[in-house]
Amino acid sequence: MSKQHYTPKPLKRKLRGYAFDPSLSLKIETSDFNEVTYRVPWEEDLTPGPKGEYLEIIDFDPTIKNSEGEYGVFYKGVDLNDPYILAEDGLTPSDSNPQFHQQMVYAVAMKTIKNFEKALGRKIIWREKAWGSIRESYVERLRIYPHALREPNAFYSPAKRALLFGYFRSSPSEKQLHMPNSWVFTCLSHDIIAHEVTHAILDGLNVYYNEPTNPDVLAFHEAFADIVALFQHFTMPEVLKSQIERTKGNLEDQNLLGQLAQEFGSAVGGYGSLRDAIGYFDKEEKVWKRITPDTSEYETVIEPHKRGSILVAAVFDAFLTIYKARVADLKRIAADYKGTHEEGDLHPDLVNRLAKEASKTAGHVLSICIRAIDYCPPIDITFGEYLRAIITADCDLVDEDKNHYRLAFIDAFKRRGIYPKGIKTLSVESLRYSEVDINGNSAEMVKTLTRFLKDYSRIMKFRPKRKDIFILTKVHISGDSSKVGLHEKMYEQITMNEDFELLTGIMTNDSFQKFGMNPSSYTKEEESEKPTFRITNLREVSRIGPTGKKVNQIKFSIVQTARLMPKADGTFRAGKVDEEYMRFRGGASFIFDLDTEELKYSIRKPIFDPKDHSRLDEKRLKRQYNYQYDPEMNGMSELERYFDLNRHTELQEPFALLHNH
Amino acid sequence: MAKKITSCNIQMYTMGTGDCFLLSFKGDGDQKPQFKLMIDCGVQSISGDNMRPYAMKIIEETEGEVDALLITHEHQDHVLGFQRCKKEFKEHLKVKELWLPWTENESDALVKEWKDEFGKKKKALAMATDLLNKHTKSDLFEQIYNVGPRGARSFNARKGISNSLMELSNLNTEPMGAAGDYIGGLKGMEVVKNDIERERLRFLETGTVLEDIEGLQNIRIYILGPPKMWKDVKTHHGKDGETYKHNKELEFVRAFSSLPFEEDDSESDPFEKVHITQYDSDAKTKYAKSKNKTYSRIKESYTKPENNYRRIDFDWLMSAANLSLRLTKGMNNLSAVLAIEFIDSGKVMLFPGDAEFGSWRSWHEIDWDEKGKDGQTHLTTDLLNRTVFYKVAHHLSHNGTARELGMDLMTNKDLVAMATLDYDVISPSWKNTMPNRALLKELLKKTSGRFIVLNPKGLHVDKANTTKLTDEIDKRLGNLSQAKQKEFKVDRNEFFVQYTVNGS
Repeated sequence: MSKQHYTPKPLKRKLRGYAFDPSLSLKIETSDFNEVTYRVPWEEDLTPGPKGEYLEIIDFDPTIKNSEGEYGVFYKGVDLNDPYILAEDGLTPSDSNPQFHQQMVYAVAMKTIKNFEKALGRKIIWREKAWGSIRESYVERLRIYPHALREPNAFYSPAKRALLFGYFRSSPSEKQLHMPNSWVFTCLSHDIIAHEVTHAILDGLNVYYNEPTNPDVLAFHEAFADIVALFQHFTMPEVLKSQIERTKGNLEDQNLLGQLAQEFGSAVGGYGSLRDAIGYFDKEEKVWKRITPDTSEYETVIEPHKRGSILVAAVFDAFLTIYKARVADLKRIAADYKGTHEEGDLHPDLVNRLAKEASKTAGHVLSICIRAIDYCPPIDITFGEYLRAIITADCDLVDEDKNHYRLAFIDAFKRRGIYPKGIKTLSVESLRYSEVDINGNSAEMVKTLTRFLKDYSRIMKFRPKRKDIFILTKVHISGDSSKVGLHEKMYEQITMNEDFELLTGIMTNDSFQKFGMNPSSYTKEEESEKPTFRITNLREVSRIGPTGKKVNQIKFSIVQTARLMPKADGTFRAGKVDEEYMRFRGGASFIFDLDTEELKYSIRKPIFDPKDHSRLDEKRLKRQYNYQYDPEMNGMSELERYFDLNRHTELQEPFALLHNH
Repeated sequence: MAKKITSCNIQMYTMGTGDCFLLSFKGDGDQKPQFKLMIDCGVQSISGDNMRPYAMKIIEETEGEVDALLITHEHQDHVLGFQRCKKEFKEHLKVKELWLPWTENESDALVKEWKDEFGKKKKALAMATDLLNKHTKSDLFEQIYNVGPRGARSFNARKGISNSLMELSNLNTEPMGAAGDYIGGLKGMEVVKNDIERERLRFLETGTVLEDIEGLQNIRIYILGPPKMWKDVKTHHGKDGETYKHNKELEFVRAFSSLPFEEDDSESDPFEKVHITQYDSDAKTKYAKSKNKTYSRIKESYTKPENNYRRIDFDWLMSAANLSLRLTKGMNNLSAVLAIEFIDSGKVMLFPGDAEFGSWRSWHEIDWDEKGKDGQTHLTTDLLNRTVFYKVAHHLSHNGTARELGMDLMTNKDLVAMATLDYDVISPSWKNTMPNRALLKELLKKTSGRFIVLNPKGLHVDKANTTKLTDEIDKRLGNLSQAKQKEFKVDRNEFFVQYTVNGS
């Protein structure tokens, strides 16, 4: 492109795509709104593939033979800057053109990333490599392979930092639901793309959330990915209005907004969508029915997707409660108006107003869900802790809860039997994490931290480049020749012992070596040994709430890992390097308020027993062991069991086989 | 003059994990059996030399003739013996009647159609497995998966998957030939069908009852499986709008993998060839040159050695894992299932092959001509209630015995069970699902220890592997009354374990 611009650079690139997936374009009642135009940020340096700042789409299909008879071909990479394509807002949606497939994954993935960044208040960084120098460990782009597998499956591969999408021949249970034996491409489903990208984003935010240490962890990953995909439906005005018209504004009736992966669901032999947050299809009676919340499910359902659905349903339920309250007045007005108007469809103005409220509420709920991630413990997450995080994050950003968002969440979780452990009553006050109580000993440490983090914040100001953010942050953690890093700063504080342990949840007393924790390399000769720990997720966060309140924070996590080998008698010994040991972790997430210069929260999950810091938290350890080592308890599929993909082994692909249907 | 059958001696041959049974039916005071039924002759793996003594023993025991030979289903652990000792069986064993499940009746067009489709899946599995296995030995495979501090584990885990896959593939189908050609179905099955001398062939129709068989007076054989379900599916296919029961266990035929090996030709590729790009060394036009540039750039990024860990060349072959398991389950569910009843006493012996849950469920949906003995209960339930001998399906796996629709209904106080599991001869990956501890416990309880395992060595009843199965069996047997202990007589020699069911 020429250097001289007479017109300002466009802010958005418009790309056509499916709102849901190709199957809805074939149905009269949905075809009108299924083709939408995605507006994604204008990337000046987008090259064919497309390859941009965040994503690199490589359309390599390993399942097709090339002209030499070897497996693997490249489909032509789309050039979204081609003037013909630009002029038409992208290629026309089509399932027979792989270039459109590339455009579709790019558009939906970018949209998801941007939604995330907005709610999170910072830039997305993908999971780093575990090898190489700081510079080498940076992963600039997520890889996307739109045609990677020949099966009804798509997954995020943490090892490859890539999304792999499959395609397959359909096998519907009834002919009228789907054309039998036709190709189905998972990379053409908005929901599947958004879901998988969310897995990747979440893994970049916290690597430990794909480590299944209790039944909630993988389920949380799944639920979170579903929540993002679902609420993204509400950002498409055409879709939203059509569904409001259809349900006459009652979004708890059957509608597309609450359903995921329509085509996929029917192509693998189901009735309708793969998942539905509010209802299900009764196969006997052949009707859609609403789900009634069941408090026993959380106790009994272990399989990650199904367990995740409980959390998705809770969040969607909270959304519906809030939405209903917000549109109650509009409905009353409409009811009055109806008297003079004939029965039937809603007035278009009312549809618009309802859609606006629904979209706004959905945006709020999604932001709340995303922001809460920062307020979760860094390891071993449970749904209950997530609820506490939601409440705490929202209290920080919104002073007065006029629309009762928080109550709606609490109620929805309660109805599904999801209660956080260790709180006495279920109220906003008790759920909200209490602010850090700083006593004489820890005051010194907090002061040191404050100085350090302020310095970090100053240096991080006005750094738009993700790579700079990554490298500078890593240097701040590990330190370099000119500067002592956060890790060492923390290490220096270990002398305060008991208080340090209470604040961080990591074990610093002499017992640590019994549990396979290594002594730190910082230890000077004259000192007694102190343990290693890891600092992760250091980031500056700046958010603006719905009421305009600004929050400026720095967050980081500290994690310690015990390496344990289970013994036959149910106890553990320290694991050796080359063994298939179990990792038991503890630690805390810190939130530091830049405006008040205070350490605000320390959200802990101690590695030690709260009553005796020289022992591990044996209750939690036992739970984790039972979960990870007993295939009959942890909801592993027969496939996982047969191929020995235990919850504690490291295939580095927790989602690959999980997503099999 | 034929007498009423009142007992059945059951020999379980002990080559290793796999089924091979000889049932000898006798009347009171008979020296020789009136009817000999052989069920399967397989083991997961065995050499010809090791198999031969067993084959000769079977021939000796049967005096070279069986009244019927039943093959429950085409899996190596049920037919390998015939392949390994083809010569011996061909020359020395006569079969009066060969019994096969109706799903082997290829003169039925529907069966044929389905078998072709099933065959394609097997072929795809064999090819994918073979290809994956070759790749695991390549440098690129290691470069992709053995990366980073814990790469070796990930790499080894993948090699493990490939090995497990090979085991499952070999259970279902012959491995690929040295020349990369697909050989086809199991040879042992071919030997049974084509080589062993027989007088008649009988296809067992599910839902029917074999009565008045010569030599089997006082015996009725109920055919409980394989399920008819998939046939119903096929029958209904032509009629639009008509619905049928969706049977997940059996609906594995298509969508669960769409490996290219299943396709007949490349016409069925998802996209037109024009979309595939490669380097055009004759590029002259500006367009062609820019196309080359794009192609080179993308390819370079993909093949850069430092990016090898991101390559996806082989991940698609892992789809075969899912396919292999579904095929195996599918075939298990196609097992012939026999409930053999002593008419006078009502006692039942259950031989379900390797039937898994889907099959067990279908038994309860069979439209029998009659009800159970009380005139009300569904006959299947009644048969299970009266079962005194149970050949445990599928080597003690979790799915091999349905709980509510199976185990819970076997309420007879004198239940004896036999299971064909042997940790000395077994695919390593099978140990992950066999035995299922809950099932093991339930069987021990239900049988009060009258539980015979092909080789109990190395089996434990608890998670921590501290309580030996043999100890637990002995303990429970010790709690039985003297009379019952005496009744439960098990002989074991180097070829088989035997137990005689008292049918009166």
